[in-house]
Amino acid sequence: MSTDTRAAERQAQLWRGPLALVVLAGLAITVGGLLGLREAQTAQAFAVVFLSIVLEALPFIVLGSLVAAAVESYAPERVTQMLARMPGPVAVPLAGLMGTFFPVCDCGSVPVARRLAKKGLHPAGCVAFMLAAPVVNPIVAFSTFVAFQFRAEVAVARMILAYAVAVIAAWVMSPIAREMLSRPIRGSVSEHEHQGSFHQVFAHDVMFMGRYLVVGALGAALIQTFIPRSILAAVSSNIPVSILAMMVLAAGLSICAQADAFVAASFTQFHPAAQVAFLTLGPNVDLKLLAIYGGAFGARATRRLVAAVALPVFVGSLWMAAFTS
Amino acid sequence: MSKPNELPMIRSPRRVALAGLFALWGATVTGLLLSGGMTRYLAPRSLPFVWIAGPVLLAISVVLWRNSHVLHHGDPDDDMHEVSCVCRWQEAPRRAELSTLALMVLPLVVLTMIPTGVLGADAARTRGVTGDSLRAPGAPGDFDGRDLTVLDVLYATISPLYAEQIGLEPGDEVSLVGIVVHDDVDPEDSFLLTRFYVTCCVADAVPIAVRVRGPPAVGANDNDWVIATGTITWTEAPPGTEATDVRAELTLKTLEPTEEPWDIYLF
Repeated sequence: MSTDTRAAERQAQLWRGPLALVVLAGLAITVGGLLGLREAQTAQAFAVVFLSIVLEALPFIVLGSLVAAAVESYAPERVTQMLARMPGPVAVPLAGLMGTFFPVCDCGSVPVARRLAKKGLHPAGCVAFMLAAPVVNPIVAFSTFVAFQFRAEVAVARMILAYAVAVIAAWVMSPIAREMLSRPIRGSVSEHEHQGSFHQVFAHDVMFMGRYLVVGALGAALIQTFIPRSILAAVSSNIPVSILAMMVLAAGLSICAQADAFVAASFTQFHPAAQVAFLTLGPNVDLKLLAIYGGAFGARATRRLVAAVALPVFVGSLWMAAFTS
Repeated sequence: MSKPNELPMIRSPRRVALAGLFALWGATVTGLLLSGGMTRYLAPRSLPFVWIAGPVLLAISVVLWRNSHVLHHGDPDDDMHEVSCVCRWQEAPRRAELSTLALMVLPLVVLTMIPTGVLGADAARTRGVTGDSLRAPGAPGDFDGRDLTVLDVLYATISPLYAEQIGLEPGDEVSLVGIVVHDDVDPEDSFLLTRFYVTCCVADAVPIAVRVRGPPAVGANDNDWVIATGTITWTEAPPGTEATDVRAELTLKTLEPTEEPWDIYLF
């Protein structure tokens, strides 16, 4: 075999993977067409929910990655040094309030928290920011207020509980927060490229968050399509069980914090404390976030993070139920 | 073309694939926005963020494409350099990277496969459609001569002020558009005329409905889009108290089939 032929073969092999993807995609579309998925009602419902979650979250991942890339590439050294000097007892409660001025969606908060940690902000503060910013902000407070027929109690309870949970979880995570936030990411298409250039950092973060968003959206769409919500009605009279049920539902539905209040409000048979549990847990622990956390932080840290969030949400909601009954 | 004794530049398959993916996503998002197809998935209030994301993805794809050349290491005078060059092999996407690309392509495949997906009667039942007025997810938008919707009627049943504002009273004749949804306990001449209310995206869609009764309802099939005309009634809440479990009911005079409207969901 001549050198030219071998070189041409190897050249073709370089492109084999991307070309195989294109062929597979074409094949999937053809098979889907032959199976009549376009007209099947279940397939339509699944597709529209799956795509709506991806299309809604993607802009926030893009915006979060833009902010993260800007932090990585352009944050002035003076600011990063000031962040690095901030001790944990100051950084954690302050970072928990940063969302008030700097609201980011749950998907977008993960890359921003990683980049802030890289720039020196106290790791536990980054966790507090990551958990609080998607909920403790004026946009979510207002949407909750509107969804609950302009009654302020639920919105206020949600803000207070979400902030408390973020601060508690940040302290629980503090021993492993640095390791968790600086964990190297594998499998992102731009992983071998030099970090530091704005577009490379941006592309890296979008690809990394995007793949887990897709996995989480698939799970959420399956649950939304096949599991009837009426099965929850049976447990609505028992407050502890109803709180747990609403927490599980929040994790399964994967609805963003700006919209989840309208869904929670539709569960009129549930105690308000169970609705607040739904509203507080969902933006911190849901299927798409679990996929993102797992990829970014690893399984052990994710399990600890879920427990650190879920337990205070459960206890706080129970206390709220006792307080209001 | 590289000059003699100068290291040539090649396009990196990994970077080209990444640029292509970003371009596809940017074009899809922008295309859906421009065609109006995005409202099949997102509420108008979510669109400003998408208007930012589409162009950003397109712009980044251009930057990635322009930076997709990598230096082809190796001695160009060596006959074997094409074979022995290590750098080139590093530019082929690895298995983990291909799986990331595949996952990111998946939504685009689903979108091509099922471009006109919509929530129907099954989704309404799964989400627990009831016809209770307390399912009304807040106040409807300004009522300035637009057609009356299921949401207007439901909200009017719990807000006498809103009912007065839109001039709706029990006993009025109204026409409402929605899909037919039967539940298990429905008699033959009854169904729930249903719309989905979307706050941000279809994942948060809440089914809201007005119960429809009357002989014209016999034979109506699930998922049919219909215009139901008849007399609306409901149990009024006492003034100054919080309404609970108010149900509106439309006694049918006529039921006509209609095309799926442009605005499938209520926002």
